[in-house]
Amino acid sequence: MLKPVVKGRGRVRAEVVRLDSPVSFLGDLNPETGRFAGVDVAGKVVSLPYVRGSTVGPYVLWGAARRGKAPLAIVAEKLDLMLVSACVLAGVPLFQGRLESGCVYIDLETGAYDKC
Amino acid sequence: MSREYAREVVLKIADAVSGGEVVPVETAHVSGVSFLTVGEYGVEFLEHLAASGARVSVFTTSNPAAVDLAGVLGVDEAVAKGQERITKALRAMGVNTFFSCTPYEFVITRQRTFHAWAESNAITYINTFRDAWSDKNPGPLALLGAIAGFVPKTPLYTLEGRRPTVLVEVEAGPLGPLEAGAVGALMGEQIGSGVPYVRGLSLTGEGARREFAAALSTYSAMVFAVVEGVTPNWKEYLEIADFREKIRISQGDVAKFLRNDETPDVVYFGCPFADVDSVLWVLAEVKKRGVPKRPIYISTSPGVYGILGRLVEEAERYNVHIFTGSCLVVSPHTRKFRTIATDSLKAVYYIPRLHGVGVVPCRRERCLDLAYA
Repeated sequence: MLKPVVKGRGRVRAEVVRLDSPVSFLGDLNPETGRFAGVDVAGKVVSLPYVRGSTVGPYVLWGAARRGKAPLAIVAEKLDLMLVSACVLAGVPLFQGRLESGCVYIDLETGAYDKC
Repeated sequence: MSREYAREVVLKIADAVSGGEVVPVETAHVSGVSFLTVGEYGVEFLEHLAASGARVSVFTTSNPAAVDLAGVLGVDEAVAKGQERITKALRAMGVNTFFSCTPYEFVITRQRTFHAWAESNAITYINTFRDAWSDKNPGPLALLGAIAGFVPKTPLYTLEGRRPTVLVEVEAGPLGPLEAGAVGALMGEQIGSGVPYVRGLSLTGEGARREFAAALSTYSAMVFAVVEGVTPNWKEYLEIADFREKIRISQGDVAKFLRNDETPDVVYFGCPFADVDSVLWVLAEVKKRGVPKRPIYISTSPGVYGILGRLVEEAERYNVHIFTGSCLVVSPHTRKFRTIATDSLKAVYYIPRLHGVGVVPCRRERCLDLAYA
């Protein structure tokens, strides 16, 4: 069970992408292509340790969401006001915890999940 | 979008960070308004918000932009156009586009009132020297908070969250701007988080206060320190203090920030924006000593710039370039330089990281000497 921080809605089947190093929305996320640190994350669940970097970060995630290139949800081990603001602004559900790569059925409201 | 959207977003953020609690704010100060830092996506966001009819509901000021108000700094057309779009969107939302990182110069922030500010040096200044309360809100949150009229009630908006946790004893001083910045940076590096209570801090004047606040918040996540005998209500803070750590800062620690190994091609004062006394000090020095070999750049607030009047033109004849509305941290103009001498430890931190340009930290007097060297 993941701890829901910014709740979404619905239970969905999704692919999980693991990023093992902390990332910055500014510089690492390309809002035009949906590639995050070189990996395609559009429509997928991204599991990452934490985000770092500029206060501009929320704008970049918002830009990706406007283009339909944002992740379906973000799972982070550590949270801060920047990451929370970015997810709320962009409408991307946020959970605290950690997922392995692969396929999950995930409840975007409660954070309950099962492997496919 | 609009006001409803802003309320919803702030409440959602509050759900995640403060159990849904919010505090009403009296003023706001938004950051992330330079095209250089927010880029195309920031512009789009601001334009979208403005087009939706969103308007700020409290007095709101803005941080420095990529372009200065009188065109002293040269930037390319793409940056100038992007900046123009940002300015237009901010004005449409009712934001005061003074583009200053020292809004505390003209915004009255009374003790124990709440504010949604998003520029770390300014937040630290009002928290520390006025006991007016603001947390470090990310740029978009400060703006949405300004529209909604409230922000999440994070610990810094409560007395409990402001309880001092670290005792700092400063055995150096009185501290000029550079040394004050060094003490702030050392505290930041050594403590990292928590609330410092500082004993023995003697600052020479307004320039030193600004540099202390700026450096503390640049080198750590902290935006509040209680300075004994200076911070309003410091006695109350001492009474509720719960010291878990104690550190000492001596003259020798301060000296580690000074460097003499490089020759700059330009000298820069005014990060945060220079107060009127600091500008007048530079002008008096150059009048005594003649035209310096290397240019001196001074960024200052629109208010001080206005007070200076014709002195700005006179300064140009002495190779002193005074400008307002922007600074060498957020303007791409900085990339035209190789090495910058400055008394600001905030500039020392950001300029190499944002622009790849070298820096020489120096005391104000020494920085000036370097302009003549």
